[in-house]
Amino acid sequence: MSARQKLSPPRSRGRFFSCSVLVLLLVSIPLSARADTLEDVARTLARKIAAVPQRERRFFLSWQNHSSLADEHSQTLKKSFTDEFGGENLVEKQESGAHALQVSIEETPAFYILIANVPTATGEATRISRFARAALPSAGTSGVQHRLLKELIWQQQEPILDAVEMGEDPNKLSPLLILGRDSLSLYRRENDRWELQDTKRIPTSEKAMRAPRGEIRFSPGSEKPDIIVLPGQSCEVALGERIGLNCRGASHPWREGMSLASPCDRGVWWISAEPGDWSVPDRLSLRNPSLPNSAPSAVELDLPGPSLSISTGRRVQSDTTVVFNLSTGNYEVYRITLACAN
Amino acid sequence: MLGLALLPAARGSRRPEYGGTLRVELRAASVSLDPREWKAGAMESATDEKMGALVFDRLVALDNYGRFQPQLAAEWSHDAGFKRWVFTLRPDVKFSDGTLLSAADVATALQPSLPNGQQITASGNSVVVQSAAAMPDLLEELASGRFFVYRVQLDGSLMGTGPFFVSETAGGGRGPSSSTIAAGDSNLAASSPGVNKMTHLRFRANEETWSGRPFLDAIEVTLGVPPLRQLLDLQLGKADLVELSPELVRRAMQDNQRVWSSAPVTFYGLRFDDAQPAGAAAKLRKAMSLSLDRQTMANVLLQKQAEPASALLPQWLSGYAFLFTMETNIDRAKEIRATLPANMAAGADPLRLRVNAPGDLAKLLGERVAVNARQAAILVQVVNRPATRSANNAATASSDPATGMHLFSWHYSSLSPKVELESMVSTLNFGDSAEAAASSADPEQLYAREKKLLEERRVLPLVALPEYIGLSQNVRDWMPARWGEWHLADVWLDLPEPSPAQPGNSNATATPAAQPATASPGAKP
Repeated sequence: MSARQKLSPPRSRGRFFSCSVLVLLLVSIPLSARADTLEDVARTLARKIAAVPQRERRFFLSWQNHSSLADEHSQTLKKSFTDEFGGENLVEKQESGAHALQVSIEETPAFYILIANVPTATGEATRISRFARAALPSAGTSGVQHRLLKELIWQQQEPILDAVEMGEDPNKLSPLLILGRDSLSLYRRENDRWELQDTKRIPTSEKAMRAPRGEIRFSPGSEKPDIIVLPGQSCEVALGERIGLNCRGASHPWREGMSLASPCDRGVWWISAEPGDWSVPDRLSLRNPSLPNSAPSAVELDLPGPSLSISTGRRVQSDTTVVFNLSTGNYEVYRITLACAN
Repeated sequence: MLGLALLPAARGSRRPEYGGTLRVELRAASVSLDPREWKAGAMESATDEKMGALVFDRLVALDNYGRFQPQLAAEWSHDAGFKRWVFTLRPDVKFSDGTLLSAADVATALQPSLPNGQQITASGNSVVVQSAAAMPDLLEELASGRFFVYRVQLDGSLMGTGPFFVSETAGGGRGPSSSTIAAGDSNLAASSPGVNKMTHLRFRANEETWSGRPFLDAIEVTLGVPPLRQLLDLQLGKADLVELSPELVRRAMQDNQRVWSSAPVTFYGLRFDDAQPAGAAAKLRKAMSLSLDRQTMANVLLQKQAEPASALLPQWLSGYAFLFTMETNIDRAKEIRATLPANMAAGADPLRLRVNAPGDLAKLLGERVAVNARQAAILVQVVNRPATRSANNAATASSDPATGMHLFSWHYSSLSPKVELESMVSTLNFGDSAEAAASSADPEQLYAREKKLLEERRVLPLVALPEYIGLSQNVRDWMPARWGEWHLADVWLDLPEPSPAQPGNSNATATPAAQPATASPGAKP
């Protein structure tokens, strides 16, 4: 039996060659499907407490989360703990005869630590369990209802340079094209989960780049081929059941924003990220492209981290932005749409 | 209309830029780039480790999200009992002289740093770490401290695979070989035993590093700069990154300087010497402990830039430190003192406190300890350390025949709480070695072990200090680990446009050379 870790190259968040389909699939599995670790840890702690000699019989539970663990996970832990410990041993509120059983979730660089202080006849006993922080993907944020709307459609730990949605129906999760550090992957939505349809390795320069960059450029409604742009080269993309790539040396200016069609007035706006380095979250700004650059933005939308790219696929009324979430360390793809103020 | 999508916008996010020289000023008078010389817990080794991270790599790294990331190891696995780990090396990693890294290099470099009982062997393109005891925390161990990979060359110098290499050094007077190495005359990444104490260093970007060329062209490190001078240089734009001493933090912030602080990484404590009657007296140790006012030390003496310490390991490392409390009770301390012989720690025979930790802060703490003790009728005489680098610190465990108590500092360097605790215990010689050998990484057992050590009171925690860093406004992507790793390979400088009106700005006039062929101003990460 062995436990195995495989994470391809990297160096902090920026240097991870993304190629592990396994990792992508694992991360895209719903959180509930991977809650075993959480539940096991909570149950283990409950069993440890139950085995404390001379412990008090009835407690009221004081449950505190002092860590960065999302509240939903804390509640999952609490429920598993309560189920295992036995509801009859716990009372809802502090009442006479019931002692406080204090459980707190703490955090170290690599672990979440569950610590229980158990009242006993002779004082207090301490019981501790832990689980690896890396075992738990952090929850993504959901959309915030502004005029500029964002909706999380994908997240993974491996770096993403760019991503676009392929479909034209704005109300459906359409195929998703993800440009990683050294691969282009196409995912389809099947039975409420993403399935990898095809992935193609991209020939890259021999020298590793500390700041890799790449863009997917679709040209809906035009004769121009769809391409991906990488430093020093561009590749024509043929998308069907399989991905076809034809790469050649080329130099393109990098994009700094993207147009976005309004469903309200049929106008076209320009969205871009506010200047900021990678240590601070970006903010998307919506501007009227016909006004000077110094004109104030019409709408702004906070992101959970720096925006790595803004692109558009087949739809003119939605864009996608790739964000490095500073809270979770995940790379996230958001669909950006413009809603009418009223 | 749709064509607009491909037009470059007039404004956008700030992307990383290549170029420039980061000017760093440090307090340490010299630096050793030889991990074999680093002493566990020593303040100087903290600086050495930061500089070492520029030229060397580890097998794995721990990111800010609790995830282990491959570095020189591309993948790893372990058996069910955590007694055998296999690390497969990343292919085609080159040392700074262009030669390939081998498994034998890794095994040779890491074996001296592994604890007794852990063996590392090379096997093809992998290394295997084995032990009779389980090693569940091996990744934390290897992701921190001195676990850098290097190759020792025939002339004794060390070579690394990291993002920078040393291009120039100025010696600090350790023998004839400490003279300046001319810039560019070597692509070697470190130092020979004779030139490993330097007072000035220049690191140049390694164009061929496996992790991608760093954004900076170079890092210029000036050593031995007093704290106030560092702050002034930051204010005057003569430095980009400086260490701020705790007493200057408030002043820097009032001056609107960028200040970053780590988690508490330096521990100050008292260690009793069992060889001395006073140090061996359990009651005296208890009275001393009750007399100490840690809150005042942290909040008044250190102007709230430190935390009172009640445990040996900090909360961020163990997760359970909050379970320990240190009581201050002068009345109780007096009562206990009254039960001791009247001539103990009194009159002509005071309890001698040797301040082994470096710096003025340690002296202040020593004096405060004496003041607190006096309130409990315990006479403490403070003896300050000699002002030399090697005389210091936690690592100096030798007994002064007349000293019953030592004030020491300890810099946390391991991300494994077990390794850190046992390293502290063995270096300071205050625990049972048999218990250390049986010590477990299980947090419950580790908690029990630390609790027992604290109850023995042979070491009394005082305060724990973060590291404070002052940064110039043009330092970008400063994303250090909260335990103090700087990650300078990711930092870039927001350089002003070259202008004749700025002749004094070394960054503005930095040579544009070394811009890599692949250095398009690309998006990071």
